[in-house]
Amino acid sequence: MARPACDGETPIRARALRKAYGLLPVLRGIDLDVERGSFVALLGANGAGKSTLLRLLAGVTRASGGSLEILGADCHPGRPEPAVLARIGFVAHEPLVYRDLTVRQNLAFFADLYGVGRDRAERAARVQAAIDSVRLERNAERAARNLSRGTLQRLALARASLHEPEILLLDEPFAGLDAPGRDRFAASLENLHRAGTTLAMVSHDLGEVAALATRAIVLRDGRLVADFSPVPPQGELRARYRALVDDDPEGSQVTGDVVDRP
Amino acid sequence: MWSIVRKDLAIERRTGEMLSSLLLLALLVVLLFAFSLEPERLRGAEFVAGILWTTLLLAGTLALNRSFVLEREAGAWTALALCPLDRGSIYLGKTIANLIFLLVAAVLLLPLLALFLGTTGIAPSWLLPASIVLGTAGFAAVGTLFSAMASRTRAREVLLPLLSFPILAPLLIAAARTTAAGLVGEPLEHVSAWLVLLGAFDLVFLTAGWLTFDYVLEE
Repeated sequence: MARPACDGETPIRARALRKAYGLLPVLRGIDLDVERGSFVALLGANGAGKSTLLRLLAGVTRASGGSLEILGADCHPGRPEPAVLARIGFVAHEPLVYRDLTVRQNLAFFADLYGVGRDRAERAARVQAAIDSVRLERNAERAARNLSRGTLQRLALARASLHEPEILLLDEPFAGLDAPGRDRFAASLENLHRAGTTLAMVSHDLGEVAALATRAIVLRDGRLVADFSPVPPQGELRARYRALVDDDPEGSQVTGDVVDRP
Repeated sequence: MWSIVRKDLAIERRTGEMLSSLLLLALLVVLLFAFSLEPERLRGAEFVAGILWTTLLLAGTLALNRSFVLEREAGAWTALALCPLDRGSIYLGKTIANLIFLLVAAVLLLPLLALFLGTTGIAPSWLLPASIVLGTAGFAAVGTLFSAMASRTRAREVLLPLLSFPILAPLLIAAARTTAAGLVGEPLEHVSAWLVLLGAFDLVFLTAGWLTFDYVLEE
């Protein structure tokens, strides 16, 4: 059977995507195509629906309406099939690891669940490579509970990229990191992007977005209101972004579908 | 599935929190029974079996709650839900790990009960381990399912017993009856119906948990 075009150059395709929690609408019809190998930043005020959109793409939660195709597979109304989940990585605010396991035990556990490597030796080698890739060698045998926020976040990235996903989704990965931690984390993301991974990142940090992303979309009250591709320099991005969200006293009031596509 | 079992055992090896709290609470409950009831009446097999299962139920509920607090902490549960595996196998993995903890507690609790209650006339038969394995399996099956549901709420400590105790009532009765028979070496014919009930209970709730866990994990 021929694969849908979505799996080729457009690994993520959403049409009129909606999500409501009970009677509260959070996403009100998102149309989005994400090209393979791109680094898309999702911007917007608190409550705009960025994290919900990312969690829909990751398969953490299900859509209420519309259509969603991830890597060629229809992901609505169900959740992504295991074969699709195996090609997605997700980094959230929280590290999504077991605090009582060591760095190595955490990675070995998730490597096992993702079927990384053909045998135990190869799996152990991949775990070691993941540890090295985020420079966690010195902390490999420490329990996650004893790690700093920055180190935990690098562990989260190692966990999410261990199975070499084609799509990596990141929800405010820079939150709470100090300057050296941000630099190290940004370098790891750049390496993944150079390796061809498609990245989608929720962020409030326009500096990081301007430095890393190839495209930035702005959400407001559950709607996509702007799409910057390529991403303008930080100063211009800030000015254009503020023009879109600063007149919104709640950070998410609807004033109409102001779609800005340069 | 076995990766999840190994992971839970590894966490317990590192922290020892689940078994130690389970055993300490079980010991306290046994002591309370021993001090508050008439000693002569406690020595019968029926009382030992009843106290064993009541203690396991109370202490086990605490341990089952703890099992899912570990999963929710730091959002590990979300990472688990995103792994490319059947969610039913996550349920079975968690159930097997909880079953192991409950079995260890039961095995350690029995001699303690005999010691504190001064039980006499014990002549255990194969029915004793069979009743304990089948009873704890049913408890783990129901407890794992409901503690996963309750763990998403703030009132999880209260919600788990409220949800699970009414459903566990027939299991508790059947397990206590077959354990009592197993303690004194009663013939199988006397308790075969209870044993069938235990097996059927396990089968029904393991299947229900395996089939419905997809929805339990859903946000």
